[in-house]
Amino acid sequence: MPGSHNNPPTGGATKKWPTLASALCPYLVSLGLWAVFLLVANLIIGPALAPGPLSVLKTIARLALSGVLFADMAQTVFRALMGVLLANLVGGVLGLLAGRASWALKVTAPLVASLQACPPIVWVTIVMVWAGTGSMVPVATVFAATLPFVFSNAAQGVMGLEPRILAMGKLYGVPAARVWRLFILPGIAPFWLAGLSPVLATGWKAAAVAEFLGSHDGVGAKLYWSYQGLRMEELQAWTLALIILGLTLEGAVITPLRRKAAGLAARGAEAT
Amino acid sequence: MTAPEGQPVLLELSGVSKSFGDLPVIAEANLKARGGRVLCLLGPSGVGKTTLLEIMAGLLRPDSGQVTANAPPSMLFQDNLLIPWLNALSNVAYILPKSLTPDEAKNRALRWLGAFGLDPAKYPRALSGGMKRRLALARALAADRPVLILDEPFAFLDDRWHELIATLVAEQAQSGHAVVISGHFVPERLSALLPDRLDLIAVPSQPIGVSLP
Repeated sequence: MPGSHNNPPTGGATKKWPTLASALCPYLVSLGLWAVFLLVANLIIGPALAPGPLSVLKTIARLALSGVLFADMAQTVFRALMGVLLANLVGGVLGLLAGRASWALKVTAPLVASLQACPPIVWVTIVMVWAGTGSMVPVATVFAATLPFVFSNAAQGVMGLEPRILAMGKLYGVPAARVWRLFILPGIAPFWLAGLSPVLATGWKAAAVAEFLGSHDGVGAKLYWSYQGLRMEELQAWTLALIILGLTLEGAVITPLRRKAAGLAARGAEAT
Repeated sequence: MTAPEGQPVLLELSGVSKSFGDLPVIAEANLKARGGRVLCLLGPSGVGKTTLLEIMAGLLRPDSGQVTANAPPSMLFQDNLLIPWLNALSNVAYILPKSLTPDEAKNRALRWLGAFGLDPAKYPRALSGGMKRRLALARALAADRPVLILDEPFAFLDDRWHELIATLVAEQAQSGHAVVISGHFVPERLSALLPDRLDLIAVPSQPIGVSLP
């Protein structure tokens, strides 16, 4: 194209900034609305029970500089991820097996539906009674709260596979390991990815609730201790930490996963 | 002239019947697929040719009757059955026997893809209807089984590919394979190449009750 070698590229770095700004804009607006809410509450209720946004930000800075903020955030993230990982291992294997036998799915459907509807508080209570307080409570709660989602996504993924391709594999004597590696696992990947985003969101919330009620540390537990001591700056600071972590999870992990899953599903649909 | 009786029977249907609900599709079908010959089932769409072929391949169980085969056949499926997330090379290599080394499997797949003018790196979504058909044919031929079942091998393809497929089918028969073909017609090229090795069976209506000694 004439002139294409002579003209310096104009897009590149300059184009990235508006993209980044437009991506950050909704988050900044949300934080701004939160600050307005704190300000209004501060004016109506008073600083003792509703600290202003500035004192909350100062508290966050103090917690961050002391290292407590990051240590507890890491603790909560680790527990949530452990629970999700275990749920994926157990629920994934069970779901894959159930997806191959429609009767198994039919038999377990009511149980899975009721487990999906079960609030995390049920699991928190049971685990606290059985195992006392500590890391076990959030990990087990996240595991129990996310297991049915993983199970039903894996089972639906297997059921969505073309059964005649499986039959073709049998006709040609394709080894089971090859069938799993090249057909079944890639075939259920879009379902698994699509299911992972609600699983992570549910796991994150369940971890915070479980820590609030049944743990000594982590962001949820810090919320509880702030509430117990009526340290309202800290309460708001930990709330903000939870919200920021949740938004980071949504923006950095869940949204890309959702896009990837939609892309994979579209590719599979248009291919045959 | 090659007498059919002199050729080994590689796959046999004896008194096979199949119904879907109240609809009888196949009634007492008796067929023999012999090595070195091409058995052509010719008839309109929807008459039950695919059902008969899938029973031959062992993919459908007949309500009654018996299917006897020395070894499982290779099959070209009417709906191709390509795996969307595997490229053309992997789609062919997927069904190749595990006794082959990876290099042997790759070379065999590449040879058949080349015969059908296909790019091994392309995914099914990037292929036209005719190219998908050729990929499915390449896979069926690469399997190299004694019995080759081809469900509508000439569908979705133009004359140029009819010629090539007819030549490949003739080569299969001449090398001792039993070939079973379904379709609406037999290309002239195939009749010309195998004037004395074709067994033509008309299946004009349901239920199919064909018999071939």
